[in-house]
Formats: sequence, C-alpha cells, structure tokens
Amino acid sequence: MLDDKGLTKFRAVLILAVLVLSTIGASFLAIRSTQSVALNPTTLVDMAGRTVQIPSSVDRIVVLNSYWTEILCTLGAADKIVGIDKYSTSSHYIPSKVRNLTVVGDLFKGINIETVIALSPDVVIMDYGYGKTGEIISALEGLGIPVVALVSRNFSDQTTAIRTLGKVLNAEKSAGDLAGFMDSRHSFLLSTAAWIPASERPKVLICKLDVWQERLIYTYANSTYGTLAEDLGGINVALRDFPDQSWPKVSMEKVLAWNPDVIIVLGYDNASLASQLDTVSNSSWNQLKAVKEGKVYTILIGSKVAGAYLDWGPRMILGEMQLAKMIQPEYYANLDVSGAAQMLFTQFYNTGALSGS
Amino acid sequence: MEVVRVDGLSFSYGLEFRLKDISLSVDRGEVLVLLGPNGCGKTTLLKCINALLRPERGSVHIDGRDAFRMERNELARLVGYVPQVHSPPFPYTVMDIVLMGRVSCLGIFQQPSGRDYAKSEEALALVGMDRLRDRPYTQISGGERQLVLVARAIAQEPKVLLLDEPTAHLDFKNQLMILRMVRRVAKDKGLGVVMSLHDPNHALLFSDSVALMGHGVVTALGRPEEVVTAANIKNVYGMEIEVVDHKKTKFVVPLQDL
Amino acid sequence: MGSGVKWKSALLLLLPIPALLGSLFIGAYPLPPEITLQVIMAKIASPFAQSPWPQVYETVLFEIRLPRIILALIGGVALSVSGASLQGVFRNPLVDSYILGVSAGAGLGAAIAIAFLPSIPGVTQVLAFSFGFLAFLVTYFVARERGETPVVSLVLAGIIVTALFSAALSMIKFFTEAERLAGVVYWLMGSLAIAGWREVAQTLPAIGVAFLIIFFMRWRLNVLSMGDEEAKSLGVNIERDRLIVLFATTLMASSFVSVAGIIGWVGLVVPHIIRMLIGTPDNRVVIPLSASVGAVFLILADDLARSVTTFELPVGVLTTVIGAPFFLYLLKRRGGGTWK
Repeated sequence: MLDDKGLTKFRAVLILAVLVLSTIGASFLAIRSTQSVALNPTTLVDMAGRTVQIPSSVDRIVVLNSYWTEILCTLGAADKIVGIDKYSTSSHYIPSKVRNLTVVGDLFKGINIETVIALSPDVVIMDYGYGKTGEIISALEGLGIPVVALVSRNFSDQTTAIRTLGKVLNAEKSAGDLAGFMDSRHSFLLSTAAWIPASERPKVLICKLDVWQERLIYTYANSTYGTLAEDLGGINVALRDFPDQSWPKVSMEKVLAWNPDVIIVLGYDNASLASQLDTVSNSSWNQLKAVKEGKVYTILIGSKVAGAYLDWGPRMILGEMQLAKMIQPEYYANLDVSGAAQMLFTQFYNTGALSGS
Repeated sequence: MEVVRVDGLSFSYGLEFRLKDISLSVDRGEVLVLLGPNGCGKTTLLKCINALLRPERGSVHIDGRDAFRMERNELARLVGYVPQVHSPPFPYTVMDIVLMGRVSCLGIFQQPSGRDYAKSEEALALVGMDRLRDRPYTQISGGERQLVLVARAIAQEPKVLLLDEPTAHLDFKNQLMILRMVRRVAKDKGLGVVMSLHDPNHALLFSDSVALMGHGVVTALGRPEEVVTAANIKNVYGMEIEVVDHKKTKFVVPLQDL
Repeated sequence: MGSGVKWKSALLLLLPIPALLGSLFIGAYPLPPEITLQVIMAKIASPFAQSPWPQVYETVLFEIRLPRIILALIGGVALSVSGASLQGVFRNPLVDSYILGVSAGAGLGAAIAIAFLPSIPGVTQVLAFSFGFLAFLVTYFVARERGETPVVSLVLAGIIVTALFSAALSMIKFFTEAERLAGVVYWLMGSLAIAGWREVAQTLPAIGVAFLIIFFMRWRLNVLSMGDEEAKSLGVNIERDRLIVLFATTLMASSFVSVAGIIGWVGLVVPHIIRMLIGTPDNRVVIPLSASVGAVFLILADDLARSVTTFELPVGVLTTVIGAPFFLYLLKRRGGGTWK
C-alpha cells in the first residue's frame, strides 16, 4: 500500500500544502489558534496514548474510518461531520446526508491533505497503526489540526473508542449508555461460554470462499473473528493449527483433514453468501461432517447491506450474538438477536428500520 | 545453359539509388565474381537475386523462373545462399547447421529423415568437413565455419550458389582454400555461382567472369582478364595499378607512391 | 546423438511418472503411505469398482491431489515449452514465456474480473485468457510494419504493451476496495490451490493442441533461431511460421495463466537446464525434454507449496525463489550468460 511512488507524491502534496498555508493562510491559522485558546480547550488521551487538545466545543469533524463515522452518528454528531473517508460512503448504517459529504480519501491509499485543510476541521478522527496513518497523523499535527487516534483490534477497543468519542463530543452520557448496552451483552456471552466443558465444544471453521477462487480457502485464525469463535465456546481449527497467522489460506484437503463440526461462511453481501453456499453444496464439501449434518451457516459482515452486523462499531455485539448461536445453539438458546438489534437501532440509531431482514 | 538472368535491375533506399539498371547472366558451371569497393552495391545485388530485397525495376530469373513469383521454399531449392561467417545464439553442432539446408524440402510439421541426413553428410564430405560433424559450430575456426555454410547451401541441392564475401575474416590460406573449393564444386555439380569479392587477384584466379561495380552500376562485365585492367580498376577504385604476368597467370600489382 | 544423450533423454522423459505418483503421497490430509498405496493400486486395478475405503480417502487422492498434480504437469509443459520456443524465435536464451505481454495482459483481465465482476462464475478465467491473448495481438500488430514483424520490434512492442497493461493494472488495484484487492494480489502470485478436474478440462485441450503444433515444428525452430534473413534464404516462410509459433506459445501461456495466475521463471530456467544437461541446443531434443522436466519442476515446486507448511504458499512465489538464484548460478557458471 505504501509504495515509493505514493510516498513521493504524498510528500509533494505535503510540501505544496505547507507552502500554500505559509504564504496565503498564515494569518488565517493565527486567527484559528487564538480562537481555540479563547474557547478553553479540552485535553484528552486518545487510544494511541497521545495527549490531545481539542476545542471545548467541536463543530467540524473529519473522520477517516467508516466505523468511527457510524459511532459519531449514533452519538448524535451526524451534523458535525464535514468530511469522510471513501469507505463511509458505502455503509448502510450511516445516514445518507453524511454519506454524501466530501470524501478526502482513505487510510489505505492515502488522503488529500489539502481537502482536509479546506474543510477546516476542529478535529480529525482516525485509526492509527497501519498503512499511511503515521504520516497522516504527523502531517495533520504539523498543520495544527488536532487528531484523535483510535484503533480496532477487538471488542473492548469498540467500547473504549465509543467512550473516547463521547468525550470529544461532550456526549459522555449517551456514549456510556451505548458502551453499557454492548458490554453487558458481551460479558453475558463470555461468561456463558466459560461454563461449556471441552467435550461440548465443536470444531469450528470460519472461512471465505470467494477471495479469488473457491478452492483457495481463506480462513480466520488469529484474527478478531477467529478468536471470537473460541471465546464463544468453539474450537477454531484454523487457530489451533496456525496460532500465529491471521488469515491462513488452505486447500480443500486441509479442510477435509480438519473435518469441522460447524462451518461459518462470511460474506459482504447476499449474492456472495449465495454463491459460496453453492460451492459448499457440491463436490468434496459434502463429505464433511458439518455439511452432512446441515451445520453450515452464513453471516453477513461489514456494513454494505441490511442485516450485516459482524463489523467494527456498535453492531459488533449483534454479530457476536449471531456467531454464539451458531456455535452453541443450546447454551445460547435464549439469545434474541433480532430483539437486541431492534433495541440497538431504535435507541441509538434513531430508527428501527435499520435492523432490516 | 543460363541459370541466373538479371535484367535492368534498379534498387533504391528512399531517394538514393543503390543499384541502377543492372543486367547480367550466369551459366551452369560458371563462376561470376562481383568486384568493387565497399558500398558499391555487391551485397544488395546478391540479396536482390535471392529475392530478399525487392527491386524497383527489372527482373531476376532463376533457371528461367521469376524469383519474385516463387514461394521461399521453391526458391531455396534453386538458390543456395552463403552468408558471411556469423555466430548463432545457440551452439548447434556442425551437422545441425548443415541439416538446416534441407528445410526447403520438408513440410512445416516434418522432421528431417535419413535421406536428409545422407544429403547433408554428402555435402559435408564434399567440402571436407565431415570430420567436424559433431563439433559445436560455435567452436570451430572461421574458415571451417565458412566451409560448413557452403556445405549447407550445397545440401539445399540448388542450381545456383550465392556467396557474400566468403573470404572476409579468413586468413590467407583459408581464403585460397575456400575459393578453390567453390570453383571445384561449381564445375563438379554444374552450379552457377555468383560471389562478391574484394581482391581483384582472387577474381583473376578463380572466376570465369567478372562484373566490376562502382556506385551501383556495372562498369565492366566479361572475362576476368578483359575486365581487370589498369583502366577499369582506376575507374572504380581511383587508384593506379599494373597487371603483370607471372608464369602465365595475371596479377594486379598496386603502383608505388599511392 | 551419442548413446549417453539418449540414455539421459529417456530418463528425463520418464521422470514425470514417478514425480506424479510420488506427489500423490504428499498433502495436508493425514493419509498413511501404505493406505495411499493400496488405494492407488486398487484404483488402477479397477477404476470404477466400489472401494472398501472411506470415501474421503478417494476424494483426497483423486478429486484433490490428482487434478492438482495434473494441472501442475500441464502448466509445467505449457510454461517451459513456450519459453523454449520463444527463446528460439527471439534468438535469445534469456527470453521467457511472458515476453509478448501475456502475463501483464492476463493480470489486467483477472484484476478487472475480480474487482468489478466478482459474482459471475468463470469470468476471471475468461477475462485473464482474453486479455493475455489481446496483449499478444497488440504486441504483434504494433510490431508489424509493411508485412514484416522483425524480432527487435516484437521485443520493443512487448515491453511497451507490458508497461501499458501493468499501468492499467496498478490503476485498477488503486480503485479496488481492500477486500477485493486481496483477491487480485493472490491471483498475481499464482497458485495451483485452485486445481480441480474442471481446470484440467479447461486448459488441457488448448495447451494440448498448442503443444502438438510446437512439437511437430520443433526442428523448424532451429532454423527460425538463425535469424530472419538466413531462415528465409533457407526456404522458410518466416512470417507465417513465426506467427504460428507465437500463436501456439501464447495459447499455452495464457490458457494456463488464466486458471493458475502468474507463475514465473519456469519458462526461463527449464530450457536452460535441459541444454546444460544434454549439451545440445537442438530443439528436437530440447522441446520434448523441456516438456517433461518443466512438468516435473512445477509438480515438485507445488509439492513444496502444499507441504512446507500446511497452509497454502503461492507456488508462483516459490518458482521465483527457486528459479532466480538457480538462474544466477547458471549464468555465473557459464560466464556472463554467453553461450560459447
């Protein structure tokens, strides 16, 4: 992602931006900084451990990850967002007026710093720790734009991020409510799983079959969804074999050797799930225990369509509940995923319609 | 009997004439030498006769047939072309190289058969190179390579041999050897030979007729001793020579103070 | 041809058989060798009989391993024979199967399919093949002038077309979402994990026909390698013959690339090994032996790809990792890559 050409281009843009600023915008910057000081800034520590000073009242936000956009909207800040990243435009869970805002790029392929400057944000919300994030953060800081850096590695990062954004927005109350909604259900899932004896834990395979071609099977091992399978009372066969790989690619032969009890197929939309199920329904798959016993399940991931829950952000708890019911249908018999979805969407997304199918 | 007939042939690159109105003919068993300074058009003429270059005007007939109306394989069965010594990118054996002379007799998907091997062996023996048959062509001397290329042309079983400066890059002894060989083969097999040479003495020694060329024009054509004269040589080379007799053979001697 | 060469050739021609059989014993599914042997013997003895083994054994051996090994065999033949033929036509032992832009074209076609048309089955193969072939046609017609396509023009046109298609590929990569980008990247690495009988059936006819064409023109390749003018005076219709060879090699390379992605270095390294082992550049020997040794090379490389780790390594990366240093060794041994 971070090739030399991109870097050079990026640097050129940066230099240009600095030049533009120092010549035309010097006075403008000066006015802005006095304004900020005058308004008695808030100080907070972001998830990267950085101490950030932001205006006490944040009115203009540029956000560079779709899940943080989604959280900002659930915390009632949809009107304060002025710029978004490319992935926010295709999320079903972000209001359309936000999806139509100025796109400044994305964190994998780079953003246009000048566009960000032109939006004169009070704060930029973004991930740190991969791709071009490091350079973007230091570039923005160099221009005097405060950056709140967040990260998504697991479930608890989600609630931490929600609370941090609550502070940014002076909306600690609703942030606390949302995080609480998620936390209580999450600890219920984990504590239930803790009771399940080893003998009742099924062998689970979480996979995608359409990354390139269905015979190159893309599995989830030491990744968020991969470890979730273990946390929710299953034995993740891919994780057991490849504890230090995130998404090992295996052949059909390996799957036959694993012979999992439960197969969970992930996909970004219904067409993808349908075509993957089609693959599973023919050829060598039908010799697997999971297929013979009808324990092949599908889960929509990401944010593209209604009913997709397994994703970063508040919906993650719904996705965890879906996974739990597939892995341990008896232990989690009383979980009501659609009820929880209805509640989450009415209470925090201000519309129950989102729960979809 | 006439095997090569060139009539009013002109060739140009862009606006510049390389060959202008050239006419000549070669009979069976006759050796015609193209003699002239560098850039006079000897190689261009050889390529026109071999239909590798298409002339503006004029015609080339080989054994009575228009050279430009034949398929390449038909022409190759009439004309054997011996290029200047080269080194190919792959170290084929001498036999592999000679065998290539048979390609014109084989279909596109055909491999050489025993008959093709026999013809090639015969041609190699004729030039005295059969002892080298399994050596890599890239590892033998320049003179040997030239002879191998002659053998390849003979393996084509042609009626005409074209040789482009066969003595270039060869030492004194090998030059004489190859020219003697060409002349012998021409007589034995009844081939018409056209070859370009640099040295007028070679032309006097080994040819039946000489075409003296300068600036794309044949300035004199006829028997060697009629063509290689002090006046004709001065005309194309611009230098003074004298033709002397030594034991009934004529030699060209450059005059001093040149 | 000396008797030593004949023995060596016979040995090399038979090598794919033990390679194929031996590779049946390698894989992630824990099948004991003696059971594997019994299942294979039973299958050979009576191919359609009901077997006493669990069905999964047969599935592993004959639905997963066997088609994959056969696809490796077909691919090894396609890549090394096209490499050897192009080395002849281009008169250069350093040419590989992709000199006419086939890999860049196929890469672009596959990327378009994976990025924009992911839900249509088989579209990746079709587009990869078509664009591979398209790249060749563009190269050929860019190089063609007044009825002639000189080798130098072909090389230059190949470079230009490769550059253009690669640039277009980068553009598509840039505009592709992260999750689809992964598919494009894996495709470009090349893998035989995709192998099934369907892929064998898709590639075998075209590669088979193209191989037969080259096989029967193998001696003529010697003549083509002497250069245009010399081949012409020897009686070869150079434009026609060269076009047939280029067409056949492109058919082979793009058919295989379309199912397996870009697997490099096979076409470059294998013919070299043959010329060194056998000591002759005669394509009557080099072509059939390149086919068998190319098959063995790719079968063994894929054995590594599926057995070094129990997850899948991309075999295209492995052939490069093996091929490039080996090639360097050959060059050093040969002294600067010249053929003396």
